[in-house]
Amino acid sequence: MAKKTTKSTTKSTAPLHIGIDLGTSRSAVVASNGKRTWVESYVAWPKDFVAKKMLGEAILFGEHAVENRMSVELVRPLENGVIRDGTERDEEAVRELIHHLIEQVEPKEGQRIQAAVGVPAEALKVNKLAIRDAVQEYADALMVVSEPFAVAYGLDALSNAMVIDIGAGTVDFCVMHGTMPTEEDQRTLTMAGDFVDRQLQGLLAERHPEAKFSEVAVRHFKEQHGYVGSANGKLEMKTAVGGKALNVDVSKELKEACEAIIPAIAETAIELIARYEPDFQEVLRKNIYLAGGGSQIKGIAEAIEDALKEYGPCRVHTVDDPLFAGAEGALALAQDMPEEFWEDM
Amino acid sequence: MADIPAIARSLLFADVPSVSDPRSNKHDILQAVYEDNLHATTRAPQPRRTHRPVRQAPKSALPSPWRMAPVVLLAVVGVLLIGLITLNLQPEPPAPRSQASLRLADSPRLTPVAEPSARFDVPDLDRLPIAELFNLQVNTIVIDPGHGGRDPGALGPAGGQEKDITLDVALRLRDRLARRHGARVLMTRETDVEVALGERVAFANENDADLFVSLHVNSIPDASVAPLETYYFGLRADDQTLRLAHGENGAANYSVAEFNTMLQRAGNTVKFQESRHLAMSVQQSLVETVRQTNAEASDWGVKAGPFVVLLGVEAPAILAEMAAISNPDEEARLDTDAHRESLARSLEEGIAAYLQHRPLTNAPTLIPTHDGEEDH
Repeated sequence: MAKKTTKSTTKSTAPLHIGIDLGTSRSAVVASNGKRTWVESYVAWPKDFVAKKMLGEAILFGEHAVENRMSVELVRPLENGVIRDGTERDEEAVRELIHHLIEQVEPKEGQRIQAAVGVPAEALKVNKLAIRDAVQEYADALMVVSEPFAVAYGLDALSNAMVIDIGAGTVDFCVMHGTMPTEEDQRTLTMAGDFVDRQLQGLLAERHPEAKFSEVAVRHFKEQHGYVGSANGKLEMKTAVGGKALNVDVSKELKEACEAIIPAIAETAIELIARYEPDFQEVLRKNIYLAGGGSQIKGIAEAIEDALKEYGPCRVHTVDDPLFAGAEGALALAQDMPEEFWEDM
Repeated sequence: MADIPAIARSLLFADVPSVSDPRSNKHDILQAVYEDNLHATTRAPQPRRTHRPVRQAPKSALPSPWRMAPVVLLAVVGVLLIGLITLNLQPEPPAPRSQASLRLADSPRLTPVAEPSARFDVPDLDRLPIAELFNLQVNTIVIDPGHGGRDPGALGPAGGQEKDITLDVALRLRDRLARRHGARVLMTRETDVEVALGERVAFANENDADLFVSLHVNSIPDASVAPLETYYFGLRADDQTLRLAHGENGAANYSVAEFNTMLQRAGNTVKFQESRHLAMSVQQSLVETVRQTNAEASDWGVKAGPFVVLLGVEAPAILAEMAAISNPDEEARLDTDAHRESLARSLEEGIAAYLQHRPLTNAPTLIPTHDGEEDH
């Protein structure tokens, strides 16, 4: 366990407000001192003494952890959107990840840290206390909220809006109607980015059995080229067949895999919208915001619009900066939170 | 019902919000975030779901509504007896026979509605909806997936095991109940482990269960039949039920003294009433759901049976035999996610309907209402 180095001992300087988006795939942090960064949500510990000596580090994060996956114990703590029950390693990984993120925004020695953390909606329900415990070690005061709510807050879409946060482990839906959303205003689907990866890998294995595609390569390719709707030419993925380098056209498989999540998203959105008064339903349909890594799949906003249009006119927007939208929203919330509220935390 | 418990409202109805004021109050939202987080910091940690229960649960310092039931019962009987005495001391002649049977007093106070008679008649406790009268809340639901570990439970002709089906459906049910409201939903086991019946009972009591739902899958000699049945604790049982109970009680190791103590506790009228109502509601929901995929499914109804888990748990408790794995078609259906999910959904709906319509009974229950009309 890394030693706590960031928590304040005095209140001499102005507090540092931090917004964190603790995601399944990527975690981002922004702070009131202007610093912002993100990391892939991987934490790794060297497998043995030799690996530790070779790597020169006791703990690794993000891409660096993935690159060295052969010599480390690699943990993705919020896989499936929650910390699995009873998995101490996952809880420890969350603590280390939070610590790492806070260190990245360089708080001053002794500066009071007030952090707002957005987490997948399911984790908020299941792991609220575990997440609080993890963050509390490194922050003087903290608020934990759901990721889609943080996004909505950052967009100032506090009423008459629905945020769909398409993450890796879950797709979180959240309806804003001028109050803090309750569980009834939220939904979670587990058919998300990781599901697309598995679909794509399955399709590739079925149609190109001679070629090998690694999990990481498939995910990166999807993140770079993922699309739904009409294609813009061939999309080729590098692979090797019998030791020989080869480019394989995977555009059809990529489209199929990405489109696999659309019906479930549209169905859940409609089911959630249908819970409200008819007038409000129409307003909601015209104010849908897509956030999260999945919102970067080309054509996804149009595809969801298309799937929803039979229920009435609708408009689906994509947030400008999906990687930081949750963290920025959490920071805005941290900064707006009255000081007396922070004091009780 | 005058006042539906909060959990029932949240299970059955969305709190459908109105179109909000466009000038939404950011401060109110921040305050709500603050209060939500403050609640999390001050709340005692929930028990870990993976904790193995201890054999003998210590008694809670705060009595659960069901533990209070005997006191409540005495109070109600007292009130009714006073009411009867008062009625009999009235100088006015009794109402004419034709109107007497269900006549209610104009006053909204609790008034006996049974036929007035010259003798002191102890009211029929089984018809007195005590839980409803006192608006007892349901906060904790314990789900008990039958069998597990070395005990596979019933086996299907293709090798399906009861323990796997009960666990999977239970996990789905837990997720559904937890997703739709803030109730505490606990499981007696979350993995394929053996848990003694006594431990299941202790776990429910230790955690102040308000409802206990034990899930099982039946196996019967006639493989062509696909029955559905739901049990609540009772000692009157037919031979077939006794055989089934004997099988499900296999792992219990209670002493005679412990068993006697439990029998005395079973004199708890509230638990009996509520268990039966819950069983009826769940059975009705199961039958409706299963018949959508299997029109041949037989409704074997709600029965009383001497199952140890139902006896020992202090809360209203039922045991649902939600399928018959001995039927090959049923076994194949039970192997699919869709069918398991639909079973979980129907159990959830049955529980939700019970919570709203308590008491749900075929027998008319006479409850005085404020407007002077009787409720059947």
